[in-house]
Amino acid sequence: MIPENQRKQVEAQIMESYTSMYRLAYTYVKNPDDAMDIVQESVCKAISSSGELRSKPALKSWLCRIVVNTALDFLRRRSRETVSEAPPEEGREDVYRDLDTLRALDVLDEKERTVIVLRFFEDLKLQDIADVTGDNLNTVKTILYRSLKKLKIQLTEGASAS
Amino acid sequence: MNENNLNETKELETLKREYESIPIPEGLEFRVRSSIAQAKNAENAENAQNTQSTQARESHPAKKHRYLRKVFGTCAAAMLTVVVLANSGAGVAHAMEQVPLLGLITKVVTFRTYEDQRGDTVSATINVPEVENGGELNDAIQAYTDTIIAEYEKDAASSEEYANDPDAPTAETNHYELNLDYTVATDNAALFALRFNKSVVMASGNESVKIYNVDKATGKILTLGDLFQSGSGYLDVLTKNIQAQMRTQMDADENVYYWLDDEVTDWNFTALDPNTAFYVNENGQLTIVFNEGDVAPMYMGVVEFTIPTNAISDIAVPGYLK
Repeated sequence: MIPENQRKQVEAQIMESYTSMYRLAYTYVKNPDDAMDIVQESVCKAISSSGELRSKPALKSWLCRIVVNTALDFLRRRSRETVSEAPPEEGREDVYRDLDTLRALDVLDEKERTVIVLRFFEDLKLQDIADVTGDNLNTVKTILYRSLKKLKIQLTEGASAS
Repeated sequence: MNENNLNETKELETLKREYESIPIPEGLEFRVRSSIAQAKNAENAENAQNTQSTQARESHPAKKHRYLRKVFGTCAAAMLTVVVLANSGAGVAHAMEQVPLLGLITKVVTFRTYEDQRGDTVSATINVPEVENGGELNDAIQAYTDTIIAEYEKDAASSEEYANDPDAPTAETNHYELNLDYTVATDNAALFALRFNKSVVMASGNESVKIYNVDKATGKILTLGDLFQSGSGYLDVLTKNIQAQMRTQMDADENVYYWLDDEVTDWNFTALDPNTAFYVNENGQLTIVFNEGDVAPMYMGVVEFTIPTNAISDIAVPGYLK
């Protein structure tokens, strides 16, 4: 049995962070429907495993880790199941603001993207990010440095092309 | 090098802005809440399953899955919140909540009480009122309470089937309780309003309100719009008034939070829904009632805003408000 108050804390954190969870998921799956599915699945996982949680301060990064893992599972499943599917960006994408700049993140591999998103968009501490990705602190720093370098190149190219 | 760093920062800011502008779909919060409820029930069923395996060492995976699916359905049903209001007549006399069920002007009696108890964990108490000379109000009450009873019976049946199974575990965590009670929210010379408070207790509670307002002279059920002159733009006036009240409350108390200037703009309260529950309070003032989660996070519960009559007296239909 999960102690009721622990589950309540997880619940409260979910209600506080679900928009972050959604945007984080969105950077992986790049369409609203799948991102919603990821969030939904992550919420279920978070509630049902809230008993495993040990430290409270890391609640948000713990949620992020669940989202990241769920999203990666989803992408792997999808790439196995549908090889030649049309890019998921098509469809309702046009009702939204142009998210072209975010596509710059595509130059990064999944782990690099996770580190960049969590560090700069979600303002997580490096140590918390290390918890999310399961790497040690120095590895995260290295990934961060490498990602920024990659990104800067990508962005510069994009800028010069326009 | 410095220049590079500058560029880098700027690009990151652009990226971050774009990231933050990823729109949040309207249904997301509901999905999140449903998932929380679902996960809790799944966990409860899981606990029951664990109890079973230690007690009997026999597992029934097929049964368990079927049960889980049912519980999920139950959850979704429980998430649907309802508010019914009925107003009749014109005037204001009683404080809500503690008004005796027999009003001075309009008699309300409990026509019947639907009570049900299944095992130790599943129960319902649904009071079905009848209003003397209620006319169409009674029809509306009947339809509303029938819906609630049907909802309960459907959910209870799946729980019961599970509980009666001799092989099934004792599902102590399988708690489901539905209560529906009513109070007279308004009873004055002009208006009568009957308020239903519905609470569904599963893993956590959910409360919702429905109020029927009836014009006593005509017996007609009133909508919010009926209280205002047509073309008066009352929704806009009410919206602005409520927004101002939200702001004042949030400034005064940091524990109070409404979706007003939230960064998730989709959720912000920008326009009052004409179907929002309302009643006229004992001072003759219009009071708007929002269900749990409508304009504020769930922890705020059902929230009410009283609109000062002088703010709307020029657009209100005379006779209802004071």
